[in-house]
Amino acid sequence: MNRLLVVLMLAAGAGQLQAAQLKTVTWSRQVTDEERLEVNVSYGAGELTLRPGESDLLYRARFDYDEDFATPRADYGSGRLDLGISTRGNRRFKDQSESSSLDLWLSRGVPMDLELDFGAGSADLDLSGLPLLDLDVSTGASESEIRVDEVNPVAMESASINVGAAKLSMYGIGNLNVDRVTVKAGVGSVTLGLDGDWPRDARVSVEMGLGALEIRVPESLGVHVMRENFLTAIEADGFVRSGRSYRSPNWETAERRVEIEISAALGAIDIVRIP
Amino acid sequence: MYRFRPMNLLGTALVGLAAAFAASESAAQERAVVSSQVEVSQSEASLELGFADGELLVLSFADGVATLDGEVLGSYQAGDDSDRAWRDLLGSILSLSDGPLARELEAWAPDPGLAAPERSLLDRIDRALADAVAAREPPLQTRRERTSAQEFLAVLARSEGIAALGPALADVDLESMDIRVGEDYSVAEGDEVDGSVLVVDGWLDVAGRIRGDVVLLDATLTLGEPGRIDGDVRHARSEIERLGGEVRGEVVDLAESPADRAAGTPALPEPPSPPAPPPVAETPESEWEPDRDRATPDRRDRSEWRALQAAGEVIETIFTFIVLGCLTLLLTRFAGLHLDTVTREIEYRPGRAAAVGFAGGFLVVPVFVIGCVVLAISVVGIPVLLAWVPLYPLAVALAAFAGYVGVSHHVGRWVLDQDYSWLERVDRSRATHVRLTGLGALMLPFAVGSALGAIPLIGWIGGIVEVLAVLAGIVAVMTGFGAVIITRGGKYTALWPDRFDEDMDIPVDWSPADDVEEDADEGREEER
Repeated sequence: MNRLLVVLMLAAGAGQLQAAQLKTVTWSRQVTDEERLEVNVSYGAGELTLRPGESDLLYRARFDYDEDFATPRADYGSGRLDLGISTRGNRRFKDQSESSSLDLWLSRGVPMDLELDFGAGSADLDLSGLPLLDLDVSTGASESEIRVDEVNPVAMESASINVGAAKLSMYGIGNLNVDRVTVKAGVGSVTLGLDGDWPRDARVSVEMGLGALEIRVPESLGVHVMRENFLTAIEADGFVRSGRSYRSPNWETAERRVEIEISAALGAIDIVRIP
Repeated sequence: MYRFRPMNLLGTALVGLAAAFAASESAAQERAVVSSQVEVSQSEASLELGFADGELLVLSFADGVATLDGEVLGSYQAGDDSDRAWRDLLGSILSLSDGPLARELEAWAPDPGLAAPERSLLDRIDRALADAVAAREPPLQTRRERTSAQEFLAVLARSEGIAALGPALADVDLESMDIRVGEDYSVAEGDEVDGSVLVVDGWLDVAGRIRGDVVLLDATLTLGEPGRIDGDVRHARSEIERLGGEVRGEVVDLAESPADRAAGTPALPEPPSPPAPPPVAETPESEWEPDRDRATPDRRDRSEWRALQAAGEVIETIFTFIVLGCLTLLLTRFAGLHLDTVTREIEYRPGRAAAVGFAGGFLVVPVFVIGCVVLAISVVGIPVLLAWVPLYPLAVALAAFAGYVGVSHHVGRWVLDQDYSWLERVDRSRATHVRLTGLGALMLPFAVGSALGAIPLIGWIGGIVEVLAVLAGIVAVMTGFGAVIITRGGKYTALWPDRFDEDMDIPVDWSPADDVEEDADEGREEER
């Protein structure tokens, strides 16, 4: 009967918080002979932060959680790191978020494939200077910010960002050192900052269902935007429009050029030039 | 028979030093710590260190028991000095790794001002940490190799150590001596040591047999049944805890004066009779197995637990479906006409039903409170209040469930319209079948979400599925609740257009009983 009770309790605006049994666990590991690291983070609810760590530190993960409700894991072997937290019971996501957090530091010294899956909650990801060979971020319902303030020291073929119903802000995409960036968003608000060093030309693909998309383009960057949309308004002040495409005035002369494909169903797209 | 010969002091010390040097390895190095795990909660504070050679060290304070690699070290009280000191240490190493971590652990020492019980436990922790982070020695060739020259020198560097060690080693066969400096040593029941044992700055637990002498310096000897020491026990600044066993030679406290020894002062306490209950430190390991399991949970067990948890939730969902299904049958049997009306209202005006339902949902609690207040302040209302308090929530719950069943009907009809082959046996002309199908469809996402939740990496999808199922349930309850309100509990149908009854494809034969079908037809006639 718990399911029905949950439905009825939620409908009536009722609910009780269970007393939390908070626990902290920290895992860390040194770099030994790793030449490449595969990192998989699966985090259901709570606050997730990721920071670059020291070069000789392979990873450090600190979980704060309610031990009556969740069990964290950190499995490492053969260059593969699996981090996550398994939850049980019927506590609401809000309650989980209040009692759970994961702080993760990853090595600056070992090239890595990074896969992040996180659900409800918030995420603060600082990928500055991390040697990323591949990046795959999936988020369900959350508020996420991704920053790349320093350029990725290794070249990356593609980066993929999948957003469910969430608010996503990503800055410093130019520092990812990547050929192609794919952003898929269901419902929500997405801000993409194309600032950064842009070691090479790149393509950015954005697929949006319902929501608002803001793309911040540095004035020095040559940008060509191609859009396919159904019921979407687009604002692109300072860009030259030609049918369904928009080009920055410096497209022909810019040192670095980025092509952006936007496919949106319903919402608003705002392309802004930044200094 | 031990004879005190001061003149041999220097000679014996040098012999011991030479023996230690002869078998020692190269200078000690810091051991590489490649991984660490720190767990801190209200009831537990544990540290797991992984070393480059693959070995693990697990030190845990959990539920009043301190353990080292699962072995009980002693007991503590939550929040006492030892607990606080241990947690302070864990807090200080959280951000450290490898060399700095090893150095911090090696440098750590308990506060000398602590009381004896706490100090004793922390001393053991200190020794364990120091031993763990010190360089690992090669496989044992001779027992002497266990002691490094560095450690032995450290002992001898203390003048009082030399003074005590000299007489203690007199007449002892150094060739066969097992020397332990700064480490614990246990001679288990059934084990035999063919020679003497020297323990400095450590613990010696004897439940087996030592065929030579035992020499203790700043050490603790625990002698238990059926332990046996064939030679003497010579000790200085040491403690002896006797739980049984036998010492065939003499027990000599080297700190006493020769006159005292000549007077025959007994230095070894007799074993208690009857034996006192052993302290926590000697509690049989088996009694602490559950705690140890908690301290080092097996990852496979976690996966199995997740699978079991998911299976339990699926079973719970099935049970919920069965209970709700039975209630649906009862509701259809005894209030079929009303339910039919509610179902039609939902189909005809779902938006209005949902709006009314959500508005009604928000008003449920205020109406209840206001009703209680009004009835309470009116003298005549007080008897009614006694019925109002239990019956109002019951009526609201019944209305919500009736509306939920009404929505289930439409969900079930939609599912059956998909012509799934495995639903061929469902009789879509019978309302109970349709409603149970709809109920199952509404409950299915809960089971799917639970099952997905047990799968690593995609477990979050299960959470989203369950959230969507809850949202769908809320919408269903609110919509149905609104339909119940609009139709005054399924009695009022005047707002439907005339064509409605003709177009409706709700099966007339929705009742499992023929007599109820007749009642339904009669009811419709009356309404017309």
